[in-house]
Amino acid sequence: MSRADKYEKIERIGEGTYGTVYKARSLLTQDIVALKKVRLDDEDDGVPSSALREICLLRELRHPNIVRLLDVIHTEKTLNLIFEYCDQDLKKYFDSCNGDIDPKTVQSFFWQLLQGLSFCHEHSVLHRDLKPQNLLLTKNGELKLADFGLARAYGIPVKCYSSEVVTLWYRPPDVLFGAKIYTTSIDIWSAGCIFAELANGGKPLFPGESVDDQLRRIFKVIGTPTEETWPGVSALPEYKPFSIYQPTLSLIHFVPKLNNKGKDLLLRCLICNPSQRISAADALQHPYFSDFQSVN
Amino acid sequence: MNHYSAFLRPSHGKSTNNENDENSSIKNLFLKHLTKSQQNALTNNSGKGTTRGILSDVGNRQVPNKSTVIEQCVETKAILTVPAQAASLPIIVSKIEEITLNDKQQKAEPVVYEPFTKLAQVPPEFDCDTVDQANIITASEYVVDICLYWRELEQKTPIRQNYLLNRAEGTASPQNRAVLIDWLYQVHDRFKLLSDTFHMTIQLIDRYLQIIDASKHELQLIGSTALLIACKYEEMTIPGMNDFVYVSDNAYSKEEMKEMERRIISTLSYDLGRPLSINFLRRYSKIVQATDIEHTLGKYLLDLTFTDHSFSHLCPSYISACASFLSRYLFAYKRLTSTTSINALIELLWPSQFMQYHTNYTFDQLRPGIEQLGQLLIAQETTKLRSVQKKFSQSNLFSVAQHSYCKGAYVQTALARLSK
Repeated sequence: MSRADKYEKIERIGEGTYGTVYKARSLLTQDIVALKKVRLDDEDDGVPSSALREICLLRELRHPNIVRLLDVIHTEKTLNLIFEYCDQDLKKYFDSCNGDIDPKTVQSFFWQLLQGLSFCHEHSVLHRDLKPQNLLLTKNGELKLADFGLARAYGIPVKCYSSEVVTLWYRPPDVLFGAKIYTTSIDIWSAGCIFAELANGGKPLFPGESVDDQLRRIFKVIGTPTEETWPGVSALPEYKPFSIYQPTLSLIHFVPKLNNKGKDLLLRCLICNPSQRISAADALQHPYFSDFQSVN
Repeated sequence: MNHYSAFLRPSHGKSTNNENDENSSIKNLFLKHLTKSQQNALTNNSGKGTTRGILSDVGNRQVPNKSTVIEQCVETKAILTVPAQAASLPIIVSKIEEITLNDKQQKAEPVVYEPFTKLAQVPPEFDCDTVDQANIITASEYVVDICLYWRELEQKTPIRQNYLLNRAEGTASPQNRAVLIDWLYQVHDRFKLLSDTFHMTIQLIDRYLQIIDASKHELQLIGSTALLIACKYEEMTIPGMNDFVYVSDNAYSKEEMKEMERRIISTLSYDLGRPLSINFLRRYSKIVQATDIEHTLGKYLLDLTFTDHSFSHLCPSYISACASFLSRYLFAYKRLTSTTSINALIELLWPSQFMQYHTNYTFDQLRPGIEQLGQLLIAQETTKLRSVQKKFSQSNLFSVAQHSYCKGAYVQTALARLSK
């Protein structure tokens, strides 16, 4: 029996950045796992770089808030990645909770998201595709970062990287303006959007339809950046001027259920100028979490 | 003094080394064979303001030199305190009363928040990153922790000293390895790849060869595949397998390359992330504020070690510390008069407490590595494998390989003075 036969597929549960994900059972241990199957076509150049990076990075990153890669089965025709199984992702959770999430749960999920993210950043890894679909939840309320298909290790000083990263709704203004030099702050923006979405029971904060629409939605809420608030913005590759919206308080109105401290933390994540965005490590020390009882 | 703008300068348009390669063992045609889109990617880059630096390191975002760093620091503080705290915070507070009326515990108390991080707390006398806070490319808040993590990681994937010696007849020898790497270096240069990619390639080759007794006939396939894997890990634009098969003059097929890719990554248990000496050198060049040319000479020294098997086992952090010292020493030695104390110069180049904190190496620990690197530099006058030398003779790399400070006799006397 080949190694791939060690697992029995139960059902298809979704599509990753590359490859199909199945719920499966290990025939050796009877454990339920998630199996991501990547088909290797003859025309392809071997292992896709996204799969290669995901495997290598997840081998390095061992943390309770990062999905565990348990096994890799690599044959001529397919590459199977075996992950720990999580019951659902945050997107599906949103669909099931009818627009209302308990503030304690919001706090716990955001705390765990930042824990996982801070761990990535301290180990020189950028996730580059944080969104609810890529955050997995277990029955015990644990949250885990998953889908590292767009992730990469960064050096210091950081180099040019692809600007085609992060799903539109969670993409920061610098990357929307075509920035190819970015660092950990790229993930903080996405994390901030997810925080607001959590606080609003699953309503996306900036559901843009195009790059321009996305930028306009952002600026309407937090103000249009200028050379004063963000030196260098007009030199970004795809920069174009937008109508000047004043920084208003509407971001606060957007998250009415979040408490004061939470609103303050949210504002620090969603700053247009990437160098001013809070770091994940600092966010964990923010007063919003001062009453948080960590389970870890 | 410039600090590390050497590797931030944009490259000067197109390829600089299509000429002068008649002696090359790989044919003169690589770029012809690149697919259209790759050619475009190579040329388009230069127009868009996002071209790689001349040393293929980073983009051309300007990094301030030392004097502007200070200005920028002041400016940043102003920005950070004014809009983020003075402006936005009180506003939040004043408005919040209306919104959270039912939230009794939260009566308009201003959120007082001083960032405090659980990351490494650097004593002020050793701090060299706070000034970079506004410059996102430096990842200043994480850099110290990341370096510590790299030190841990390099210990996990050691390479044995002289692992290629005393192997069976017909298996790869240190000489075969040297020829392979010299050839790969040219391929790497032709494909215009990052130096990180090549550093990673060497590590993959050594880590694989120390486990597997490979025949010398397999070496080219192993080396090309290692380069492909490193590209997939590091590069934005990855040459196709057909390009590798082509530059190897069809010495192997695409199918064999796929099979070798599978063998290499599974032999290494998918643990491909290993810190690179070039990353340490960049860090060291920053903290000691090396000049552009000093940093480039450091890179030259690191690249020279690739073909020499006797360097394979040295930790990336160690060999880059040696290269950082030696490159700056070779420049400083010229200015040394007979009355200057050599110990004072060493302390100037490697301030013991500061460098102990940042690199965990004392000068005495570096001594043997510096000597070995110096001898390697001297040996360049007689070597037959000249790809690295040729690359570093280009004017965009300050022609460091031709510099009088790299001449054998000069290096010899400089080293002798150091060991006294």
